[in-house]
Amino acid sequence: MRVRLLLLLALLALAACSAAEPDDGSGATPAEGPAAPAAGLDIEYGRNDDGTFYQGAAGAPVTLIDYSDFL
Amino acid sequence: MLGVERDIVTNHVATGEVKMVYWPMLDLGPNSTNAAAAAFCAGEQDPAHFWTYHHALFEDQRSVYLARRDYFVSTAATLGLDTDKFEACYDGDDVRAMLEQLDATRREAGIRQRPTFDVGGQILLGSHPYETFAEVIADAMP
Repeated sequence: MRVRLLLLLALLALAACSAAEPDDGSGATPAEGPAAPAAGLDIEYGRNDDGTFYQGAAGAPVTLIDYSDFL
Repeated sequence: MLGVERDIVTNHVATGEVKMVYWPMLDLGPNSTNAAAAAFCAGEQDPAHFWTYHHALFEDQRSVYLARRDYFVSTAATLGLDTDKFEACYDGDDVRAMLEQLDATRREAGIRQRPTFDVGGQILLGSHPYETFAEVIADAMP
């Protein structure tokens, strides 16, 4: 009886773990929507002629370019 | 960079002092390009969406490294983007060709270290605390 109970508990735990895993084929959980850095702030967004995106006033006195990889 | 970026945005971008530009580096294999393509495709719908998507990816970098197409599409859906347009862009060649061109341009400029920051012409290599950026921004102000 005890063995059956333990087996049942183990199966339930396994089922709970399986239900929590994403099934998008990626092996990764899709990023959820965090608050953007500028949440609550009045920020201008735009695109430069070279195709890059910017945030901030187009005519701001200082341009900061962040060269980085998403990985 | 996320926390530092938040401080830079709050204290310098929102105040009109700084225009912050993201320039992708495609050094770490196919998913470097895939992640950049996804963010740029988000931006194709609205420039603000680029930054929301950019932030989402940096908050979840461990997942991005191994992510497949479905991850990027799901992220777009979660952020409320038009997924049909997103997928068409992501699966197409145009944005990827542009990214390759941007990457070639930064290589020709000698930008190699990840990350590198150009702050009004002053180069900062690698990550730095917010205070360093604040100082360099102040120096760069006319």
